[in-house]
Amino acid sequence: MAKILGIDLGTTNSAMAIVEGGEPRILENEEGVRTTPSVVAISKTKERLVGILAKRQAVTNAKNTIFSVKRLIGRKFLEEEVQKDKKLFPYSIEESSGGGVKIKMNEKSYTPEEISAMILQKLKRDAEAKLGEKIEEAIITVPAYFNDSQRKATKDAGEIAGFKVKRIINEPTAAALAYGFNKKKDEKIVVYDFGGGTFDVSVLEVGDDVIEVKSTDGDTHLGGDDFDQKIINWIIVEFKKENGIDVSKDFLALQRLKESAEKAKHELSSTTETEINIPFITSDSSGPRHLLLKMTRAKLEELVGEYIKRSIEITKRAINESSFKINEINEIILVGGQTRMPSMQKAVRDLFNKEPNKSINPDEVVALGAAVQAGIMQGDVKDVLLLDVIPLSLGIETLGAVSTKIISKNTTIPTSKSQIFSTAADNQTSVEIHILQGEREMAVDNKDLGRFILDGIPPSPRGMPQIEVTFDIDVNGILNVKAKDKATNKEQSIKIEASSGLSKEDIEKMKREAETHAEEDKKKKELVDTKNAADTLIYTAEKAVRDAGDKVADDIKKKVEEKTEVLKKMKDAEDIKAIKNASDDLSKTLQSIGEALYKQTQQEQGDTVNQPKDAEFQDSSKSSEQEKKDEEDKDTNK
Amino acid sequence: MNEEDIIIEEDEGGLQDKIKKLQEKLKGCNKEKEEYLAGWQRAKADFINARKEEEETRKEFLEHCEASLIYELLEVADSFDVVLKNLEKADNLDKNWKTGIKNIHSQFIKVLMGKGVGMIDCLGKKFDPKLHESIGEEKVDTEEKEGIIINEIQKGYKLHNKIIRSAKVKIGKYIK
Repeated sequence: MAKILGIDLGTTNSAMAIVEGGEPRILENEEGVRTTPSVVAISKTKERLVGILAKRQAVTNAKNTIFSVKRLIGRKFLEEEVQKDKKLFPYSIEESSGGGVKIKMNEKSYTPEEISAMILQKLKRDAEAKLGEKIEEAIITVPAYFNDSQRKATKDAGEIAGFKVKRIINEPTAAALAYGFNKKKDEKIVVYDFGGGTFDVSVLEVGDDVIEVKSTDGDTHLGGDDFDQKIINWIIVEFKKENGIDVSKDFLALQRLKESAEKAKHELSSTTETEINIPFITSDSSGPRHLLLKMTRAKLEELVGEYIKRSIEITKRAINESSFKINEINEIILVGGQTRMPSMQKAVRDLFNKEPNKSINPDEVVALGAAVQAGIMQGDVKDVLLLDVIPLSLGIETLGAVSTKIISKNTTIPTSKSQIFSTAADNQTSVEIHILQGEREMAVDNKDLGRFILDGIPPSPRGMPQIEVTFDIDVNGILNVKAKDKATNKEQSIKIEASSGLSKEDIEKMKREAETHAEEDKKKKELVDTKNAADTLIYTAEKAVRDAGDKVADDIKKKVEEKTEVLKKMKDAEDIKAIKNASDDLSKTLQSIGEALYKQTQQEQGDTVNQPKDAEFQDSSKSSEQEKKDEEDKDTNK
Repeated sequence: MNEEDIIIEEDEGGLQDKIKKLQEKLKGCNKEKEEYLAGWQRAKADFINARKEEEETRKEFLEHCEASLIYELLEVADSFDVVLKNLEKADNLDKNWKTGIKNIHSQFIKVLMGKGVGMIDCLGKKFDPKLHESIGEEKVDTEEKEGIIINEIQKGYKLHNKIIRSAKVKIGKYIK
């Protein structure tokens, strides 16, 4: 099925997204960036440039570089907004024969639709290159306050670019869709959109199948760029105060300053203080001068406080107009990169007395929402292909009463997984497979789903037998567990019906418990792991002493035996550190046996080390619990 | 007799009905089978493709991490550039100290180069927005220098042919 492209055609930047596997995803442009500057130019060499390339030559080709065309689209030439912008724009705007706007670029006139189409065309081309397939259809977003003429013009721009425009949707609506807020009826939503150059706020209400815009307000000349400028000016003034030098006329100094200001702004979102450090920013007769300034978050807030305050006033105005009360608002959504600023988030939180939604990247949320709309229009995946996931992990109990997960939670089913385990004692002839469900580290804390015994394992040293345990869950959630001894091909299995009837509440409870006990469980697991490691070490040491025979001096053997005894005693205590120390001690002493052996027989290789194994089961005839120590994944054993 | 005929007719009719129903059912089953098989194949293909894409994304991610680290380091490179420009003028600085600073700079640049970083050529080249960003113009005396970079304000860098920072330049403007 052909994909529909969701496009956020912004005033300063544009973004695009598609739905893949039911989830919206941002597409990067040709330059590998997730947003594209909404800038178009005809270069001095008569080349048409769009996006970052157009932006890079804007300063020296201002007359032929068109930005913020969104401010003009679908408007009449004589409108106040157009007249106001006409004075600010370095490119020239004229009245068209129909009373609309014409933009001059390199001696040729273009309609705003045509300019917008050039941006859309680039997005289309880049998306097609990225996906390797043709894209014919698009959904484009517009501000909620756009009138019919502006919407129609935007649609036309899409058609000129070669799209079949499936729908024009409101930006705040798209943001709400991205968060999935369209599902709850009567939900009242405020979308607070602080972009690079414009501020918009909208109040929405979810009705039957539609999201209705109740009111909208904003300031078309208020945005994050104003913040940057404030910071730059502050730095220039501070530097002048200290050094008496004005760096605003020095191109390089200004360039470095701009970058530092932007960086400082970003850093102050996560720290309360940052350092603006530009060594050798300039020099005078007395030598080089350095800029080193501390900027606090409080300072930044002081500089831009008035902007935030203004946006909050506008938000109040919009709510008033919607006839809702502030405390009736169910959800607040933050859109636009500037909303990452903590004090802005705080101002919004304080106004609504509620945590605003900000989990989706605020630069991308509108494009993602447009893609979600596209997904809705494309229709859902057929029921038969909707696959479930298992809500809780499934595993078995292993050495030390630990729960070892075989299939982790949220794995899509049907699926099948196997892992190889081994015995924990010499001559162990049977193992018990105890199947568990849940996230806890210890077996007893998880749900018992069933158990069975696999016997008839030929007597062999611990760690030698290879027992393959396979978990298979079919599409209905029915679990089949099979254990097979690879030497004899003997196998046993059990069938467990649909997750043994855990209710949704039970599942949630188990998940919560796992979270609350995570820390303590981790400690318990660590103790068991340490004990298991000590156990293996003791076994290895005893075997080494036995195998060494006469080849190693008695005093070395005696030392090892002593240390082994110490560890044996320590092992049953609960002190991790003591066990670890004793283990290290024994491990070091043990090396002297190896050394002695090598000295004696250079060619002969001591086989004191066990073959690698994945895990161990304890002899089920000795204990009802089967146990293991997980060492390596089965792949390493192949 | 008549009655029997009717019954047989009914039977035959019923049988045919049954066959027809079964045929239809079979048709439906076949259609469903095709659909499921197609879905299965598609799912398998999706999985294989997703895995390939995942590998690609991981590669891109690593490159991106590297690029963003290098981008941050360019700030240091800029400072070095200014230092070097001013170094010769610094008369009160010991010769050995000057050499030391120069050597640290080349050491630093060497590390960047080793990671695949390259500088973007500017001076005397034709302005190209793929590589350069113009931040001003300067008067030139010949027409040939129109649109040619005559001043490099801030160096540009690329990483394995991908631009990580465009060069900030001034270009020539010829006025008769």
